[in-house]
Amino acid sequence: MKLYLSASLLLNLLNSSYKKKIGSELESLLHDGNRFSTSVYSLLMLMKSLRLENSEKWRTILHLVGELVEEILPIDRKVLEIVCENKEPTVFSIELAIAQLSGNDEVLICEEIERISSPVLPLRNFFRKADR
Amino acid sequence: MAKIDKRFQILFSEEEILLLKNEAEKRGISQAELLRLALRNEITQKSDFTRIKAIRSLVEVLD
Repeated sequence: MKLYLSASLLLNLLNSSYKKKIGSELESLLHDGNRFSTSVYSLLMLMKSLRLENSEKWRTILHLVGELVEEILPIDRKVLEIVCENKEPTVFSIELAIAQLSGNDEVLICEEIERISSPVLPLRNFFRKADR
Repeated sequence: MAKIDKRFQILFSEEEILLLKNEAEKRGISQAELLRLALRNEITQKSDFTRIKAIRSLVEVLD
């Protein structure tokens, strides 16, 4: 399966008290033959959330994400059209649009909100799986 | 299944040829199929190794 790594998942993989648990879960998914993708948009959102002062550190993160995923998806015109249709687009809805348009099977998130759901793609929330 | 129509010549040692012959017989497949399988597995495993290394480094990069 092709799984989309959202900004929330990447943020918690890098910077949370349960990042090791998330890392192990991702390794298990790889062992099961799954493949990952993310997008320029999610990486921009990650950059915004992390606010790293050290640009060298950010370059390392970008390199490692590039090694981890099959592809880093662009924001194309179709994504913009979907975003325009949505009156209040959120980071999550834009990521869903990108993931859906590029043929992903699931979106991996790490959100505290228990009842987060998606009408277009199945979600896998790592927040519930994490040992806290 | 992809079309198999490209020829590639390769030299082996006596020991490698014996290893290839015995393993192919053991698995009940042709020597050529075993070589194609070994090639695919080597590349897939390597890329999985790179990905796992990337996950572990991402976990530690901000420590």
